[in-house]
Amino acid sequence: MAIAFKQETFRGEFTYANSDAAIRRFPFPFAQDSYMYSVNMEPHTKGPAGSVFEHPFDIDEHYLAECEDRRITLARDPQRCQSLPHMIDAEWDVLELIMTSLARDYPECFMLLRDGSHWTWINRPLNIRQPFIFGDAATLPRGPFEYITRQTQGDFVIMDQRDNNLFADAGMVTSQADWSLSFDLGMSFMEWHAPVPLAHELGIFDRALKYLLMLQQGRPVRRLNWTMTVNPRLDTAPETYPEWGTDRASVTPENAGDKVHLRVELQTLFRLPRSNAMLFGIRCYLASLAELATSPRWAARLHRVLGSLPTELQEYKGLTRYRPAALQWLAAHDDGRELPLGTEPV
Amino acid sequence: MLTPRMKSQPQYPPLEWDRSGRQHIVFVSAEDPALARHLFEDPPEGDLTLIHVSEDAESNASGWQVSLPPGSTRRVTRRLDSALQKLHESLDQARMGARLYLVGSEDIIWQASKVADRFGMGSDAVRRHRLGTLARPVYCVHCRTTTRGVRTNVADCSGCGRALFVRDHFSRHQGAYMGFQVDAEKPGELPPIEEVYR
Amino acid sequence: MTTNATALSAVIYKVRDLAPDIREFTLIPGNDELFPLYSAGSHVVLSLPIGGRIHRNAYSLLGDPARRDHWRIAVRRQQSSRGGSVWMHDEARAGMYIDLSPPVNLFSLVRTARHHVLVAGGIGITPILSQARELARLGASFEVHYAFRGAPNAVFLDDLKAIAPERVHPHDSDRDGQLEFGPLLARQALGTHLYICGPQGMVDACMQAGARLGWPSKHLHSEQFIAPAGGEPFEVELKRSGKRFTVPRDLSLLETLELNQVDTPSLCRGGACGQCELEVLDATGALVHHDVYLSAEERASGRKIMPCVSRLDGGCLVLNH
Repeated sequence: MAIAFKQETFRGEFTYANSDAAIRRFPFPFAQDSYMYSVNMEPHTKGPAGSVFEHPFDIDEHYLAECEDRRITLARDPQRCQSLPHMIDAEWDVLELIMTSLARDYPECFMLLRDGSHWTWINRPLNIRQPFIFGDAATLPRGPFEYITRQTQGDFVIMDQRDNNLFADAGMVTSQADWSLSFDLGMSFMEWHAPVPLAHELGIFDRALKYLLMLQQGRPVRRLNWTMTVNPRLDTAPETYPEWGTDRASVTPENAGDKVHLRVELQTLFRLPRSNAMLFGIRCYLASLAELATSPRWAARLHRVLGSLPTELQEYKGLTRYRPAALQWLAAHDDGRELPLGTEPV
Repeated sequence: MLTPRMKSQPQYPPLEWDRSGRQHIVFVSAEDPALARHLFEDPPEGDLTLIHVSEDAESNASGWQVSLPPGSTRRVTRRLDSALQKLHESLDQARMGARLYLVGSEDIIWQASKVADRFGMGSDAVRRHRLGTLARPVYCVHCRTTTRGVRTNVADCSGCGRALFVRDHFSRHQGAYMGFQVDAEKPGELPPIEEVYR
Repeated sequence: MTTNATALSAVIYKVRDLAPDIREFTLIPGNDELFPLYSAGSHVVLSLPIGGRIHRNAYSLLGDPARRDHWRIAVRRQQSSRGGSVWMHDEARAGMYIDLSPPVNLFSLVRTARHHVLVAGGIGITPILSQARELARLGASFEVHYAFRGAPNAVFLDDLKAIAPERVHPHDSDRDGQLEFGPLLARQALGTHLYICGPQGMVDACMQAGARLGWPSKHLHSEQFIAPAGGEPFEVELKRSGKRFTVPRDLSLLETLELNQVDTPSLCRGGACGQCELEVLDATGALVHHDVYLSAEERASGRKIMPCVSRLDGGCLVLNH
């Protein structure tokens, strides 16, 4: 199964776009007409063929472009990837997990040869052939975590488990929805979730933490999270807010269809075997309102979710300035008919 | 403007001894004679060390020094960097079972906390009591500089000059509140500046 | 919380007596694959066929996780046990197949500690040995105290000394009396974590000494095993459909419903999300709540249950479904 990788940008001219196939597999997160936070975690088991849930780590047509965008972001700001010294075992765990998964699930793109601790990693799309000794960081051009996450789509945080708590002690964060790794590094689960409105009072994080502390090897879990972005921009970090903040005021009811994007995060959590730490993957999917509207059901549903979103969530997700324009554009796609529960496009 | 309490924002309950500790190190950088009397008239078991930093620490007139029980160790200095060094030395000699009490501004409390972190002292061995000013240290996410003594809701970054909105989101590792450019969406459009952290 | 769905199949490859009552078992994978990796301090839960029933016993993995072609556990024969250790000594033989859970770690090292003190009493050496090996590999600062009754019972002492020369302190309680925790704990620098595995009396003495000396409880760790999934079988009656089933020991209420083609929602399958909640109309046994979703009031009301993880302690449960 060959993937046709696209040449596109997530900055400047923003040439990013989804093929029809990419739109069809988009992880639309809304099963009903309104949205509220919940502990919506479920086993990260093999999903339907071709879906974003099929494999533990999803590679799609945007792979090369995302790797390039990450490379640019890191060149401008190397501190988007940090790892505290005690996380080195976890870094190797992550490298092994991702390499073995990608080689197994995308054999036409990736290969992993292993002879004891002498490994060779082959990444055909990126033209990489890397022999190295597993466990010996001197044999890789970068730290193991940075090395492999530069070749994987999505952000990653490694959490150390201690004290009945989880601590964000390493991260590769270049496609985040507005949080800072430099600021949050070392924070506990409750601390880094502090800015999220309403969810704490609902007991979401207490339950989620207890559930995650018991996460077992070989039984990963996943959930969907979402926000919106103006322009298909991956780097919406607080660090670069002055660069993308003005985009929010540039949205009109006419251009909203092309400019406003639904940004869905497929969040995955894996227990890591050697370190007992936990890998938190945040895989980002972007689709414009116009692309989503190729499914009339999706457009209508999104119109209703956005229209009924509590003020606290609007503010927290940064939607306030352009929400009216987005709603106006979506209104044309909502005839008010009753929609069935579920996230299917048809 | 009343904002809901941010879960990362530290709380500072009234200061009492942790009598389960076997050694007690008190690091103070602000005056409160009544608190000093209250604590020192009923000291806990075990060795007691006072590290006192203030402009006139060497005059011995402070409530902390006046009330200090006999037999306690006293280390005084006028400079913060020297006080943090003395704290480092005291913690290096301390054994498991020691407790640390940090008294003063939020900025100084968290600078001292970083020293405690290096010795693996967790939240159950350290108590913090904010005294005096509410002025905040602010970490600029754009240039990563920390600006100290911020009293207003919006303040200029001492590193890059951007006007920063001062959030309630706090990082213990950085020992500061987050600041981000307040007019990033509409350059030039600033909210009214208020002195909220007196 | 767990079922047998991901049970590993193993074969007892070798049995070796280390001391009069202590036997080491070497296990190899029951199929062609390798065993999974694990972190030091992990244990596995063996399913032992005793008296026509499955008994579940947890044993620490004592070997090197990098060796994935075999695992080693050690079992001390205890007359007062529910039969697990007796079965292991008297019935288990090389060549036998045995089911076990994947590794679980509730006794893991704290990677940010400045110094680690490992304390083993008797057969408690098993997780301590694996922790010492990992700390040595990491180049961490640590010391090991191993208490045993008489030299013949100092199993794995040579392995320990080979892993961590200069850091091992053997303590023969027959010769030197009980291990004194006071001096050991009093001299430790800030940032030290202590890990103990041994007889309950020894662990209690250690914890009490720690409390007396002002150690924060988060710095004192004792071996913990995962609570075995399952429980007493119980009956369940669905009021609306009239259906009735038995929930066996090894399956959750949710799994039993699903196996019987009952349409019921679920999501996280771990007691956190609330999706599977069912209404209890009646219960002739005690509700055993293992979830983290219901509030204390909801649990006490006896009107709600999370079928993915919770059960009835025998008797019959009537659900509004």
